[in-house]
Amino acid sequence: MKKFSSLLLMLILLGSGACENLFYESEKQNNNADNFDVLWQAMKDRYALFEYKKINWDSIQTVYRPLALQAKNDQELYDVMAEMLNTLKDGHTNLRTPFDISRYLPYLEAPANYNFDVLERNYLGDYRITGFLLNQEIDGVGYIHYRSFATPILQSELDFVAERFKGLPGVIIDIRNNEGGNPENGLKIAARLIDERTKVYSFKTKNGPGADDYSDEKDIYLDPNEVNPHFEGRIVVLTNRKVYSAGSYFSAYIKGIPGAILMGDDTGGGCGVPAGYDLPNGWYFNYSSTIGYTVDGLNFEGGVPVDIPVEMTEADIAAGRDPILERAIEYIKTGK
Amino acid sequence: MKKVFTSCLVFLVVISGVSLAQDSPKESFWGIAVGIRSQNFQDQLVTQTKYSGGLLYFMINHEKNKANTWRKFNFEAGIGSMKSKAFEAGQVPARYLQPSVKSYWNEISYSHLFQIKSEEKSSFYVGPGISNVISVRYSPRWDNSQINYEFTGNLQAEGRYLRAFELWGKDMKASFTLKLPIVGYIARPGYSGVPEFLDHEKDFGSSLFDNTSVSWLGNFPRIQFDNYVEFPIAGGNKMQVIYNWEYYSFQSPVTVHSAAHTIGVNFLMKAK
Repeated sequence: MKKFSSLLLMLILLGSGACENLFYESEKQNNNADNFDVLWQAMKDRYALFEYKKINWDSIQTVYRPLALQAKNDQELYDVMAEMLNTLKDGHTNLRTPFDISRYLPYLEAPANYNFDVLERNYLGDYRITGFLLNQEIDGVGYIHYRSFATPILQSELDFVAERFKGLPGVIIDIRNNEGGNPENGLKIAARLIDERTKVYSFKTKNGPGADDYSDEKDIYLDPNEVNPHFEGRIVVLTNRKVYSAGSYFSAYIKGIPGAILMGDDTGGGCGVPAGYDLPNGWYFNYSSTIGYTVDGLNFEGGVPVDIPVEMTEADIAAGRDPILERAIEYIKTGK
Repeated sequence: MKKVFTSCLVFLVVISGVSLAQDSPKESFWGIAVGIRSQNFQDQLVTQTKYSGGLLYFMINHEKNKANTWRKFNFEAGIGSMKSKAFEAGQVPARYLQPSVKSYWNEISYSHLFQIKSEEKSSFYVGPGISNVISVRYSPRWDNSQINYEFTGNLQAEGRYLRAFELWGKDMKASFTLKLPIVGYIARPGYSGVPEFLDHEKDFGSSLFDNTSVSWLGNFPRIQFDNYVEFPIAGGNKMQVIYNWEYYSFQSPVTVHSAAHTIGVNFLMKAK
């Protein structure tokens, strides 16, 4: 018995001290091959938008893996990996290292269509700053400028602005250059633009490594805010290519809201919810894990299209004019 | 599923048979323990790298011994951080998020064991136990998949070997307990690790349980060894030096491994 219990004790101690390493997957090494392979494979299994982007990820591997293996230092490896990720043209897919962050900026390929200096000098006058909502009555029309969905909106702030614009023919919500943040802030505004439960967008999620592994498409509805005052009249939301992520989601809601339109330039897109993953060398990256659709079924990764396109040229800026804002005022006043 | 219920049934029948022979209450203790929990994990939802680190360990427990039964309630918790091998403190700009995670682990368990064999200096116990584990890891590196977790509750089978011995003139006891899960539930994040916050009508708390499945020994191999050496101290109280080891793995939606070694000291005050 003594022998048995000693043996049992030894087995327990030895087993518990070392056994777990037998169960674990062997760790990837910190070398060019493993770092590249983890990045490439995780993207292959998890990225939600290959089909939409028409990207053959296997052929991307053929091109970039040899380059990654040849990289002589971290910067070179980063450059190869960043270039590979940027073939996806996705602002929600970024490689993050201590010395750089890879990025895709869709708005660089389009005119700015926005200049705050022009707005502030020639249109806004002595505007109010209600929380993060700049607001002013311009030429008999309500105007709200919201710079970032990352900054929270309080219901009391929306109450103030909605009351201020009561009786006007409509409200312009200017989200140009708004690169996103928390979609909940957009929902707070949108709930004051509808009178009944309204479908505002739909989405599906990548839920497995297979190319067709997606959840069912889920419709998302929004109930009207029945407690607080609404924005009245025609609603025009101003956008440009720098409007991204939660900004694009807000623009997608507008597509489903009767009496509201988008004006300016298409948004920059960014419908994929970014998820994160590690690399063996300690770097990390994020990738788009979902697909978002407008109410009419458009995958808005490439941007939410405007209803009335209007451009703001360099000449307009030089002349201190904002034709997008002026067109919005005209639309609200005339309905045309 | 059939296998799970059959195992459960057999287990409960055996236990109910053993439980017929019981005796009057003998003694009970309240304990409080502190220690270090050396934990590691590898969750392929967010990483292929193994993270490890030391968590501050804390336990409150109550144990009740009768002639033929041993009952134990544990509330255990551990909090701390884990890092991967690539963590390089101070060698990169502070704005860069290092491979480090904050970890909170908590287990509430209750065991009710029956003595099946007793000799002069040793005895064997078997019986059922229940446990609920919350293991949450948080790292902003993982963007919207920053909350990584397992929630699991299990009915488990336990076996205990108790051995009395003498050391430095004192009566000591060594206890070795092995625990294996029979059936329960496990909740893990979805494949992308992102809670479904795009559906604003869905409660965040409930979305954490979207990917919940039945767990049993076949798909949730969890092994726990709870060991201690116990010796009496003044006033009928006692002290235990504990060493616990546990490992578990789960394959859905992708493989996660987690293991921990816990070393601590438990002070038990006699309650009855």
